Amino acid sequence: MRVSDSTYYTLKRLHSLSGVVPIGAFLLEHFLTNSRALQGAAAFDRAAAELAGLPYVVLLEAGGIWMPILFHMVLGILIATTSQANLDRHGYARNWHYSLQRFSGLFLVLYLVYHTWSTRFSAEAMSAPSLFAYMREHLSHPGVFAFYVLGVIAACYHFGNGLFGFAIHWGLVTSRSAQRWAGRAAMAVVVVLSLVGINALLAFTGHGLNLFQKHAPPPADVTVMNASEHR
Amino acid sequence: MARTTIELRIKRQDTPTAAPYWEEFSMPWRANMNVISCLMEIRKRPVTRAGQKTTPIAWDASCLEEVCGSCTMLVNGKPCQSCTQLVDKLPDAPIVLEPLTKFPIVRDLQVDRTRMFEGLKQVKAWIAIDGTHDLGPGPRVSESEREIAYAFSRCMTCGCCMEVCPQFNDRSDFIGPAPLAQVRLFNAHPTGHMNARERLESIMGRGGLSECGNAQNCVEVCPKEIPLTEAFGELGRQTTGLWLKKLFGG
Repeated sequence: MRVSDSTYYTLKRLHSLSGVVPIGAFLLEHFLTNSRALQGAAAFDRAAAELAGLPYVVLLEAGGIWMPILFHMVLGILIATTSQANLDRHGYARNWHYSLQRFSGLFLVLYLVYHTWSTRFSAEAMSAPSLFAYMREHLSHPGVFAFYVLGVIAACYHFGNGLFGFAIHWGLVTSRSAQRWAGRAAMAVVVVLSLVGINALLAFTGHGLNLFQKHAPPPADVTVMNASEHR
Repeated sequence: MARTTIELRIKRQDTPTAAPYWEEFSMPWRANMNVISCLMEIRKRPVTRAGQKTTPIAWDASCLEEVCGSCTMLVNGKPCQSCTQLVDKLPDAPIVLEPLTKFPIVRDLQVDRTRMFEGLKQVKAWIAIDGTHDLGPGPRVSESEREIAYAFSRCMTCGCCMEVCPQFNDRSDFIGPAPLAQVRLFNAHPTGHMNARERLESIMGRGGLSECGNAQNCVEVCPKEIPLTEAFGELGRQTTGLWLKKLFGG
């Protein structure tokens, strides 16, 4: 498909923007909701139900998640096909990031297909009475767990390092030192988000760490759970 | 351990479409030789290390003082000007010479860098001062801007930045780092600024600024230490501004 020069520029800008808003914003929201699992099964299931019950939820999902991801994915694959990685000859740090950005993006295509199918559209996920219980079961397979850890790291990396690219593409950082600091800040985002994401995964298997919380998980959750189990 | 002989391994190619092949050469060491003086020695007596008679090696060179860029080639895998590669500073191992890989080969170490010069034309890398009447003296430039402009003006279109750029290749239309940096240079010039929008528009399409993938290899290898990646940030800001202006007006 041939597009005009101005459309082309707009598409590239939207590709860059969509990675931060809404996709990056969704990633943060997704991690926050998943971290509810640290507070117990009921807390997580309630958070999931709350999201599913939002007004305009179908519109929010389609316009804020599915379409931007699909757009970002298709254009990203096209962009990746124009690159000729040369790490073997020029192993500079930023060149590694360049290649990893493309590699993580392509890996995420695979991961997201599996992730959305298994947790959203598969028969087991659709019919599961408790999403928490389903996720605990799903993540109990070491292979699946490892794949999820890789997926979390790839997503955090692609988002964090993408912020660095975003900052230069949009001209937010120009000087060498500003770019160096942007690169460091991007890596800090990658590390912190990865830990948050992995901790949420661990929470489903009962090994999550309750960090930086002001109050212990409300005991009401436990009684509600017990009551429903007795019934 | 000091060298007593200089060994060279050179990638050769007889015509633009012929298959490349390697030849090895050896010559007695002399003080203060550079890669070009080695090639000149071979030209005097084109005989391989094995004693076989061969053709002299073709390469480009002009200034011999690292300001023209024409003798750029890969020395031990790194793009650089062969005129300033001093043999005594290179590791004591056969010196490997290859032509640049991103440009069509003319012969041996000679490449056709037309694509880069076409890029300079595309971005109008000049200042339009031709007119039918005297335009008078141009505006003054501040010392700080002069200093930055000087850094960008040192570009000699050698092609090192294009060589290492993963986005500059046969599969992409990317114009490459060097011509983009010239947009930064000429748009900052008070007279050149009058054509700033044209230059920005010339890099906002396919193959323009947005093809940059921020691998930042260009700035690592630029022999003139041109702040290429700073230029891309500034151009990103300028093109974003123009894009918004065109979308929403104002």
